[in-house]
Amino acid sequence: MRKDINFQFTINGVQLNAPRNWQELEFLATYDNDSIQPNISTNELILVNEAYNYIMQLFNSGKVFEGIPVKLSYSNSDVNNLTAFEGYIDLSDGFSFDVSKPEASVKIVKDNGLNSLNDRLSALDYKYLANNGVYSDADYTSLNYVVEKPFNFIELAVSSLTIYLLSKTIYDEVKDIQDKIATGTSLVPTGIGGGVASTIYAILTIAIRLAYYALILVLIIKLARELFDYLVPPKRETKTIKTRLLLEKVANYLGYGFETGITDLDNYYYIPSNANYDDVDNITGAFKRLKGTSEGIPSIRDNGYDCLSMFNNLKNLFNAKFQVIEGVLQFRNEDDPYWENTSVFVKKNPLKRAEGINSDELVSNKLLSYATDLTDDWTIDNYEGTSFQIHTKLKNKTDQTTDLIKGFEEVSIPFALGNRKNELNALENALKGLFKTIDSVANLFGGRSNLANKLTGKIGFLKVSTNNWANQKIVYLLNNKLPTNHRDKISMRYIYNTYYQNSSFVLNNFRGQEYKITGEEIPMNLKDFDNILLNGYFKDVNGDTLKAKQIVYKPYNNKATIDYNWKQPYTTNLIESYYEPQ
Amino acid sequence: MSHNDELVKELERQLKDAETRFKEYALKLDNKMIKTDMLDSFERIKNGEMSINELTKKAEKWQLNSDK
Repeated sequence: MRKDINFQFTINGVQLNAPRNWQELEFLATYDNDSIQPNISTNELILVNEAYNYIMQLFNSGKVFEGIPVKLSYSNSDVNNLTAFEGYIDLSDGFSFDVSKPEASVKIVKDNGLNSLNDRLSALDYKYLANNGVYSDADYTSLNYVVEKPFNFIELAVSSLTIYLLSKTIYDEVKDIQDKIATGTSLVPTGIGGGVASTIYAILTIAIRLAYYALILVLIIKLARELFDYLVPPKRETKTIKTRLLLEKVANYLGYGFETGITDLDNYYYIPSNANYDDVDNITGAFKRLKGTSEGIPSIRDNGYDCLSMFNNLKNLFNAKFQVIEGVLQFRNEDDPYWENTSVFVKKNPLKRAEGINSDELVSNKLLSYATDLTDDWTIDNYEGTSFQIHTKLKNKTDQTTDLIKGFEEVSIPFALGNRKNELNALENALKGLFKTIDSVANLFGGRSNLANKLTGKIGFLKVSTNNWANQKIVYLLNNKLPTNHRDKISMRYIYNTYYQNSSFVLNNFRGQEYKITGEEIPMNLKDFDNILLNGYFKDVNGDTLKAKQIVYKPYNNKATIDYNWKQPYTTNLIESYYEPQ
Repeated sequence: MSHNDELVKELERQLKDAETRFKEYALKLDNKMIKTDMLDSFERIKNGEMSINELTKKAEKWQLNSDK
């Protein structure tokens, strides 16, 4: 037991007498869900004397739901005034006092700890942030889209019949004009018989008929344009937001910087669900005003409306961890070298007394999937890339019954993939020829018509089967457009190969396999504890990388009991197979 | 050949294409009643015996029957 250790205790920056139980204090650091930075908790502090008076004064002034800054520092011959714990007293949780002794018992919460960060994120939502000016139009990217229903034979047959009727009407009219001109020309006197009056009459008759048929043609062209509006989906616009901004702006709002190694955050764009109905003329059914989403942030119907849900959705998508380290919110893939490179603590004892392996983390059947959207048929029709399945099996086995690998795990991302309009559909192809002709007719009569080009101009747009899609989407954009290979850049196969290989028990030299070491008692001084708090990774004197799972640190005794994992393959008799549903 | 002649020829080609395309889709329909009615309507349009209004009404009926 160390007798030279000193303890400093401050509340609100005021140094007070130490809690009565300071020598028994234990700090429990847990790395829940394989997190990088631990949750820190201690046993309750029992405040007496001036510390008691100080806290009761705050309590009596109504400071119940406001965190009260607290700092626990230690000094000894090695270190001076090392802060072991900085956080706040939470009087709303577990506070009790006894005026007869007098003493008060308080719980303390770590600043920037995972729980407190999660609590802060869950207290925020994107609409609240937009209302407070954190998100504005400048943060959104406009994306063009079309509403296009999947192939339907009845609709297609009816449309092609309508096109035929229209084509025939135009043909008949033009043919009639041609015949009338020919007849009129033949009526013009050639000098043999007929007077000037009859010549003028004949010319006037032709002119009037021409004007009449020109008018008919103008009406047909007008009809064709209306047909265009009804049969060909209009160009629409919706708002999206870069996924990076969904994280970075929240981090900034909470007072943190933001860093990431995930470059796809700059190309993956989020599209909220759209509950906006178009304004339509009740009589003609024509569109009066088209309505996409007016904001790129999640709507209240979307999973991800509160910031914690969105952080977790993106964390799952990129197999990421997020932690606040020295005032910067780090959002990085689990395998990002950053985590190991920033580890400082070195365990002096090279022995690793393995007490188990992480076989419980291996599942035979793993499924990564995006959502589909029943209101957007294209998310079902064009399914490829939406899910990816990984089976891990024994490479060699004596018989089927010896395979002990079991279990199913699904990583489910609540975003639907976007679909690109890659080509003209059957109806548009049918219309293209007709519209080209109508353009020619219109131009012949001195008008300006460009219907054919309007058709092809929508290729490359986002495609949805209804304007009121119920599920939020995620799309890969390059220069604010959907490239032809967009699906390859965001498919679940891509996600697995780019972000999930570290958890594979087969790939990257069996990287997912780990030995478990539990309850190892090691010497740990204040500085060591401080180092390991920043980053759960540490090394031993052999240079092996270890990952802390739980630490119980007793500063007064300069000791810690630690559970950790050691990345080391224990079997090569495994093989992965993949399935990507179409 | 005048512009008008070229236009007539182009329209004749369009008309032929539209006929081919319509028949291609109509013949694939499963519902025999709709299929027959549609082909009959086509002949009437070809002979100039059906207006756009009548076609619109029929189209609504076909759509309703196909949804059943």
